[in-house]
Amino acid sequence: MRCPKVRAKLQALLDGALPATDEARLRDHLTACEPCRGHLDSLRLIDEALSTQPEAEPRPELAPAIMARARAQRGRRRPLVPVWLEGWTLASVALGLAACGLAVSRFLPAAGLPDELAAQASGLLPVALAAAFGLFGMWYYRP
Amino acid sequence: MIAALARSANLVLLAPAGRDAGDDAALVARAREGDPSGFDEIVRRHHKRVYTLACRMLHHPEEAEDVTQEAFLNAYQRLPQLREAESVGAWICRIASNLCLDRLRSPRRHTEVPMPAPELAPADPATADEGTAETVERIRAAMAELPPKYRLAVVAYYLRGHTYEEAARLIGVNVRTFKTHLYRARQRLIAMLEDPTQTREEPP
Repeated sequence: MRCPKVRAKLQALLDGALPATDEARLRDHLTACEPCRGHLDSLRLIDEALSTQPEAEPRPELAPAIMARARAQRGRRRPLVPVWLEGWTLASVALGLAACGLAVSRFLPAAGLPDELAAQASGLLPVALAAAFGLFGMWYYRP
Repeated sequence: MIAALARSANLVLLAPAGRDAGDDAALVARAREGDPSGFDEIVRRHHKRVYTLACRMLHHPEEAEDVTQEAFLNAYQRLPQLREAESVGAWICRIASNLCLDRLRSPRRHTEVPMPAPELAPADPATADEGTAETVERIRAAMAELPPKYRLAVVAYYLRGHTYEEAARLIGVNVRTFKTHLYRARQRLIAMLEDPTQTREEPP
C-alpha cells in the first residue's frame, strides 16, 4: 500500500469504519512508515481539538430578544392557506385553475356571448386565473 | 480515544432524543396554531446550538448574534412550510448555515475578529499537556482560515457529535459531497499545522 492511499483511509481507521482486512494492511504500513504515523496523529489531534470544543455561550438577552421580535411579527401574517397548500401543490392548483378556465371558456359561445368576446375570453380566462393564483402565492410567500 | 469519548458523551447529552423530537413537533404545532409560547420554547431549546454554529463559522460574536436572530425570525415566517416538524432544530441550523455562507462570501464583509477567550476555550488541562494544548489552540484558530464550505462541513460535523449523515442533512448537502468537504478541510488543517504561514485559498 502506498502512502497517498493509506492517508486517504486514515480517518476511516480513526472512525472505526474500515473492514478488518483493510485495517490490518493499514496497521502494517503504519508500523513501517513514520510520516503516515505523523499524519494519523494530526488527524487524531484535529478530532480531539474540535470535538471537545465547548458550546459558545450567548448573552442572556439573545433569546428574549428573538422571542420579542417574533411576537412583533405575529399578526402580520395569518394562515390564509392551509399548510399543505404550498410549493408543488400551489403550482398544481394554478395549473388546475388554468385548465378549468380553458374548459369554461369553451362554453362561453353557448352561454350567449358574442363570438368575438367569447374568443378573447377563451384565451385570457385561463391565463388570468393562473396569474391571479400565482400572484396570490407570491404575496403569501413573500420574504 | 478522548475525542471518541467526548463525541459519544455529546451524543448522549446533547443530540435530540426521540422524546425531544416529539416535543419539538408538538411545539411547532402550537406555534402554527398561533400559541406564542410554542415558538418561545423552540427558541429556548435551540438558540444556543444555532449561536454556536454561527460563532464557529463567523468567528465574530456580534455577527453570530445577528445571524442567530435572523435565522429564527426567518424560520418563524416560514414555519407553515416546514415538513418535518420534529427536525425544527436542524432546519433552523440549516437556515443559519446559509446565512453564514452568504456573509462569508459577501465582498463587503470586514475582516474576521478572533473570538474572545470564552468561545475559543483552551483545551482541557486534565487531558492535554502543554504542547498538545497549544496545538489544539492552533487547530481551533486555523478553522477561521478554511474556505467557507469546508469550514461549514467541519462545524456541522463537530457541532453536537453528529454522524456524517446527520451533519450532511444539517447543512443540506448530500453525504458524498459532505465527506469530500470534510476530508479536504482536514487535509488543509494538517497542512496549516505543518506550515502556519499558509494562507486561505478558495477551493476550485
